[in-house]
Amino acid sequence: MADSNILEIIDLRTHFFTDEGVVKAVDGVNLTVPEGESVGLVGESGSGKSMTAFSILRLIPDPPGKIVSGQILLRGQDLLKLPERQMRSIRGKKISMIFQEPSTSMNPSFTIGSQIEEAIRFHQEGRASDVREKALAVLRSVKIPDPRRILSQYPHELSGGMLQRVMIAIAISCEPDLLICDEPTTALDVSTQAQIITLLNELRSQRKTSFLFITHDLGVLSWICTYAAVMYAGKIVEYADIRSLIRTPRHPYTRALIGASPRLDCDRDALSSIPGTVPNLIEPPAGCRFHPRCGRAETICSSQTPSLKEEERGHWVACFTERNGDGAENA
Amino acid sequence: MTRYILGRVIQMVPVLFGVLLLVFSITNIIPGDPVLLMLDVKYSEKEYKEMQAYLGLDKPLYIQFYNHVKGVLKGNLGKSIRTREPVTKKILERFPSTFVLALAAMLIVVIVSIPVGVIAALKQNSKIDYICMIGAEIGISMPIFWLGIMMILLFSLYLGWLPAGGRGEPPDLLHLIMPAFCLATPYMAMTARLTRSCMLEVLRENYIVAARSRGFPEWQIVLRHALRNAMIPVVTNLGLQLSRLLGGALVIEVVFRWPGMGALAYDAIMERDYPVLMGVVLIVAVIFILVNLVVDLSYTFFDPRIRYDTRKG
Repeated sequence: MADSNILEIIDLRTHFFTDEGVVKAVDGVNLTVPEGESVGLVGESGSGKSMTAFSILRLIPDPPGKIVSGQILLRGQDLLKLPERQMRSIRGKKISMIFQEPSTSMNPSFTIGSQIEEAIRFHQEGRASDVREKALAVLRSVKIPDPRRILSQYPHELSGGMLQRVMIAIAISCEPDLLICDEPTTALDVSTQAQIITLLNELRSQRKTSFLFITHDLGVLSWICTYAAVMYAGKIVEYADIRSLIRTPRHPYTRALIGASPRLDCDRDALSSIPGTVPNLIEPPAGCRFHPRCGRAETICSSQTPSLKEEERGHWVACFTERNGDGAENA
Repeated sequence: MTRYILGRVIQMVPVLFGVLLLVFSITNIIPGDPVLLMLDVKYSEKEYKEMQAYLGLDKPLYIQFYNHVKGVLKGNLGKSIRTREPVTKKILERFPSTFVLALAAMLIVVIVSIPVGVIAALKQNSKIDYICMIGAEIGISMPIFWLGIMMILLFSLYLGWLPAGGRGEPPDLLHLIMPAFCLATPYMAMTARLTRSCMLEVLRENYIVAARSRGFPEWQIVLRHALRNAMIPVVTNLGLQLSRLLGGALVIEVVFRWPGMGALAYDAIMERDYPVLMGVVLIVAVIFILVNLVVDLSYTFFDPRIRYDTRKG
């Protein structure tokens, strides 16, 4: 891993206290985002990716959710210990977020301009005319045609792709250090997806912003990320740079996930699927949470929980079957 | 926009004609003869015929209706059977009282129930929420005439704080408190509940989470981002309620002897003074339609997705 990390998540646990029981949506997540890099967080629906992201900004709906333990270090400062007031100056200024569905993430009652300007004005000092100029500048930087006209339009007058550009414009308007993207292309059609990814890549190289990119699409992942973490049932099961993760996946779940993704460069009749479903997070399976669906499960897998170990330089895996003789540890 | 308003005004014509026809029919169907009320207990056949002709009630019904409509079109609502005064004059005398009462009640509804609804939503499932919603439940359940009588018993007879009825000479605020509050009660309760549920719904929207992710303080999110969107259905409902308030005012005006149009209509029914009754109903219908038009137009302010003209965006 790189020498300096902008974000370091240590043993994060976010639980939801429901009538049916405690849902352990995020259960001991360790994750680092190196300065200036783009880290992907990939997994099936319900694996806890988005909840990890929401935990970073402390936007977990409470009740029923609660961050029960762990540390989230932004350049060494633990966000979980900050008073709410200070946390608000982090949100949107140091860490911004863009969301899955641009059409529902913009307030329908306000113009695009007033929503961008509101964000700029909140975090930065400046005269009204400066704020407007700044809003136009960020709209230009996300390549929106005719930005002056867009400022006076309402969200319902724009297409999904345009709205996502506006969302990105708002997110980068205060030049954040870290941008969290929560499946920003999922709700868009494929050609728009490509445009948005290209835009995000450009912004990253121009502005040196670090990314945490949440997706369930391995294609998108390999396009934008330099590192990737695979998440399963509230835990990180594998972390590596993107090349070795795609080429030499070590965790059986990652392999299955890659096997289930369509590829243009190889000829396959059918995609493989992973047997079973994502486990119930109220009472997750004992031991490794993937073992009921894993083809290589051994006896140890159902009794003890593997922790994330650096199996190769920079390649971290949480799996017993990948280990050579160092045995199990209790977690 | 102008086109839209014009269209709506033209639509009023058939509606008002229907109202006239309906009220005219009802006054003729219900038992009671205005002619008899005008005569002594002992009267001759000749006296009856004369009085009937004097009141214009000897003609066939369709002629009576035709004459009535003709009068209305000329702005003449006829004369009271009882006092022979022009109905228009009577209504104009009474209208300000009802207007003040309805406006005061509406103000109470808006000032009390919207904050109550918002607070209940923000503190969902807390003690405050339960107290507010139980209060609203009680408010909806009580018939207003009963509430009015109970308030008179408590505040006028027992405690002696407030006058029991009338508007005061000259009209003062003290006389307004009880009738306005009483009239407002069921609408306060409904509006508070509606505000709460709309607010809860809006607070779960993605754009609220997105606004939070930008670091805005909670009050800004609630008052700027959530309230405006939550108000759209509440405003619709307030508009409908304002129209219904006029109906509620009838009961309240009778209970508190408030000299408004409601009391006028009540007396007109009791005295079989049909021209007065028809006049009041017509005016209430006009107000009802105009209020609804204003409410529909106010949507454009609250919800930019609604436009009444086909201008290209």
